[in-house]
Amino acid sequence: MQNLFRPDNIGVIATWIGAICTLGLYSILYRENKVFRFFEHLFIGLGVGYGLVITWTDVLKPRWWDPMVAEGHWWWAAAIPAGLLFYTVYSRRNAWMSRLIFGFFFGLTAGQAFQRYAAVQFPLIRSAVNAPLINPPEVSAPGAYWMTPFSAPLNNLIGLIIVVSVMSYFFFSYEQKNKAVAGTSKLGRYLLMFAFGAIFGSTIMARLSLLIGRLYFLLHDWLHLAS
Amino acid sequence: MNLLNRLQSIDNRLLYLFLALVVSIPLIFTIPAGKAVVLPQSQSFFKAVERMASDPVEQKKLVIFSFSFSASTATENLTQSEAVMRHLMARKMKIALFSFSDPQGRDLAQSLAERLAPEYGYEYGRDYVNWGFKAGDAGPNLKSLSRDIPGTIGKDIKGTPIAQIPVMQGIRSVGDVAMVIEIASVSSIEYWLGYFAATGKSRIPITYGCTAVMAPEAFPFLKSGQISGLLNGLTGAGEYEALIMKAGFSKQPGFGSRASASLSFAHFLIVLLIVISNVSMFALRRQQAAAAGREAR
Repeated sequence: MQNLFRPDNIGVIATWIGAICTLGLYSILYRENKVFRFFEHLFIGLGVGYGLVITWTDVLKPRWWDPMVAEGHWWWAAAIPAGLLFYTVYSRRNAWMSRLIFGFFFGLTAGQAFQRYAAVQFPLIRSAVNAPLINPPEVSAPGAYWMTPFSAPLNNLIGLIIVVSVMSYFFFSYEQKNKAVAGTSKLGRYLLMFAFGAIFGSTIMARLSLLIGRLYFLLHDWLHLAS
Repeated sequence: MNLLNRLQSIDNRLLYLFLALVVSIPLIFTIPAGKAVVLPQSQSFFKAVERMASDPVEQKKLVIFSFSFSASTATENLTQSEAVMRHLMARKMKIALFSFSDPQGRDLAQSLAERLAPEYGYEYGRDYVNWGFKAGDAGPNLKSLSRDIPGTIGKDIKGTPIAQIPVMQGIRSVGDVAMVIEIASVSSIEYWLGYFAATGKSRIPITYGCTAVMAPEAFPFLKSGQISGLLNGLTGAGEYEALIMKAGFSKQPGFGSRASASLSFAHFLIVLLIVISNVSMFALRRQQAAAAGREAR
């Protein structure tokens, strides 16, 4: 038994466990079964357990426990009752206390989100709106070297048509009787479908990539068949 | 049951098996690949790193390499990370590995760096450091990081205070950061854009590698200039591998290049199945309509 767990055998054992887990999870493709359920729960448990350990070793211990216990920063103990307030949600009588801590974090997160929204979305809106058809800045912008004096205005024109058509599709304030408006709106609907198709295509590509990764592991690391 | 009916009711399990076979063939047998086509967003990523590495001032600064993914998307994200890390190590940049979105990023980063370090003469502490996982709300974490890096990080994964690690000497705040590289399977890029990139005297270049699912949402950041380059899933990783190979920073193609043939085969199969199923569906409907017409007469 001791020989089995020699350091040079650990890699082989890990590969076999990985292969069994992979096959167990892929068994769902045949039909719903208990083996799949077992491995699904095993993975969720492992993920949560791993996250808890890392949160303790990398965050709570060095940033909270050690300063409080070993370095004399006793005031960090105030975090304990504050943290426990979250759990009062399980008591009908004391549930109101959980709102204090939830309210505090909602406020903090909402305030942060305002800043993030402005910093992330405003440049995006500016770049979508500021798309001149004559001498567009993209041609000379660093990093956008693939844009030519011909392709950049064309790109901006296509962008403009898409923005106007899609926005007209989402304009529900009055009935779209005018032929031009109805036509633009219909174009917007088709363009939306193109976008959804592109996103779905990317999703397929991502999922296939994951399949390739797993098959490569089985064929190369486990069965030694792949080059 | 005629052929059209059969085509409409193929057992899904047969299709899965067929897909697995099609994907496996290029992994087992070497399929001669054509010349890799590198898309502009990957070239842009490569050029941004080259611009930074060629600038003597930027070379003294730190590159923050953020791992915001877990083992579940390692095929895409870890392959991207390997290609980019090879580039950074070949150009002798100082690297700080960091994870604030997923705890698994911490060890995925460390194992990758430990595997590549001997090849490029890198040493932990001297050339790279792992800041570990920092849980909690990313906003305050990154805002604090922009002002005081040693104070925010505290200790590395080995428990050494950040200020005592050689590679961190002289690194104080956002002004000492040359670039942020975010490799992610979640939309964590917004935290860097919102709380870090624009907090210094000049804007910090941010480059981004994401899963293919997220790429359509990432392209607008490229156009607006908020990110300097983008790697799109496994394809992006393969393109970056081609770029570093061409530049002589890597000796052999990585997994991204090897997997590209499998990906192309799988795409071809899916397109073929979509065409066959649609053609058979329309033909069957036509056949049924004709039969209904004959009965009505």
